[in-house]
Amino acid sequence: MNYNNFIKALTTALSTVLLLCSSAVFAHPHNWIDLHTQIKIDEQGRLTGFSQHWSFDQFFSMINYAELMNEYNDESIGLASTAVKMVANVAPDQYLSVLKVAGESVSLPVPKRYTLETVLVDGNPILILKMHFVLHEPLLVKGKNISLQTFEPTYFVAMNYPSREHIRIDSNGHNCKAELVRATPSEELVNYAISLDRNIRDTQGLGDDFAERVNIQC
Amino acid sequence: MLSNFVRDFKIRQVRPHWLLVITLSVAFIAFYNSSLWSDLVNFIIFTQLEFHKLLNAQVMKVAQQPEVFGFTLMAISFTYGVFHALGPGHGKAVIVSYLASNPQSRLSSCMLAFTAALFQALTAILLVTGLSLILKYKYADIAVSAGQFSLIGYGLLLVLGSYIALRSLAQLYKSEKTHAGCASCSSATVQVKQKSLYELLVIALAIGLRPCSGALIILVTSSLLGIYQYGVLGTLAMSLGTAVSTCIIAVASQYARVFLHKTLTLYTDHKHYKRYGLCIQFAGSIFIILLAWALIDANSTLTNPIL
Repeated sequence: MNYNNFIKALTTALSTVLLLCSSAVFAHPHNWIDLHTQIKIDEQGRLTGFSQHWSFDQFFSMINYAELMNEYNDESIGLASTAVKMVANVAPDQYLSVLKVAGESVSLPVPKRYTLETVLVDGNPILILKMHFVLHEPLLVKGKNISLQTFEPTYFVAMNYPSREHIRIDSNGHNCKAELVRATPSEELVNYAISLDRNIRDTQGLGDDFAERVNIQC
Repeated sequence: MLSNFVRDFKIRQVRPHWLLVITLSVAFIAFYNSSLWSDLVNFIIFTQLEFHKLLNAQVMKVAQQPEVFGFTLMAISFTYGVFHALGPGHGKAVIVSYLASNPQSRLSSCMLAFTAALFQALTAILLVTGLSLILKYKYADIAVSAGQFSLIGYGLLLVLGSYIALRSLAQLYKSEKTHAGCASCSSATVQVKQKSLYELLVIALAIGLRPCSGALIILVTSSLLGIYQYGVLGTLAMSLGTAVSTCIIAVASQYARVFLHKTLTLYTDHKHYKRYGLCIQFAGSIFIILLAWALIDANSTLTNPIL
């Protein structure tokens, strides 16, 4: 009987090793973006738009900065052209933001201004995409729940607010509050994301579950 | 009581390998669904990410003062290699399933670990040198090519797994038919060992065709900063680290196989010894096939949708 236990112990140990080995090779996400959002409320207490800064991670920034310098041989032209590409890439996905007023999605316009800038961190450039959105129509927000979620749907890129201080409201004297709600993906989903991601079709919608939400109340 | 059990075992010819297969599957499912697993994988992934950042930062330091930080880069790369090999990775899964089911000596188990790690480093170096430095490809293209290389490796695994599965089945069938005595079983073992050099090479190649992400990071970063030679050295140091810890895992799985084999044949006649060995081999090959299939299935060439 002892030997039966031995077999069990052994096989459990073996399969444990196997399991740990076989997954998590293709973990999502692959890139990280630090978010910074500034929400604009006008004198009439209406939401007029918001600005967003996307700070890309070191590795992404370094490679893409080097590549744009190779391609354009000029920093300002390279950054401007890359900004156009980036904005064009995220345009079909509503600039990766979902703005909801009282549960209804509000479609985002083309950003009024956008630039790609670099900031030196430890002597190396970090890319920051800055976009300024002005809504088609200002929205009266008093007493309504407004939420803003920014996420990349396939979760190839994780987008997070490093802290509560990365959300600001320019409330023009109105008493508005912004609250950051962290994502609470189920354990299953975390497992799924960090394990084998099968293909694009399967990861589509994954970002949603990891998205942080900014709630605004005036 | 115990002797009755042993006699029953012999008379009914209960095949412990079924027990093995069932236990393995149950353990697999139980562990997969436990939170312990996700915690552990989370921890490993987090640490790996921190290591990636550290590697990246280290390469940047080397670019500023090569003579000061060159050595630290090697040391960190080596440590990354050791750690990486302890974490999840398809290479170890393959090595463990192969060595836990196929008779190999300790030396060749270790050689397999070293060759696989070396191949992996060479693939990364060839990819980045060829595509990035000579053909001026972009990083995203390199990642896509790396995916294609990996796919060839997984294909090789699939072929090898199927080959071992068919071979062990055929030998099982033969031994059932002839009730081979021990003279022939020892000669069969010798035959298997001669053939296995090719198998070992195929496995090393299959593993090596998937370049490790850490190696790609230091190679790409160092090439961008104009200190490519340090990137190459770092990659080699990393593969040495990987080889050392994979070697330990490899030897452990080889011991596990011997132990498993002995345990399974404890209550049976000596003539079954070979048969159980073949059963283990068959189970192992099925693992390799499933693993290869999962890897092919997962080998997506996803790219960053933003740029």
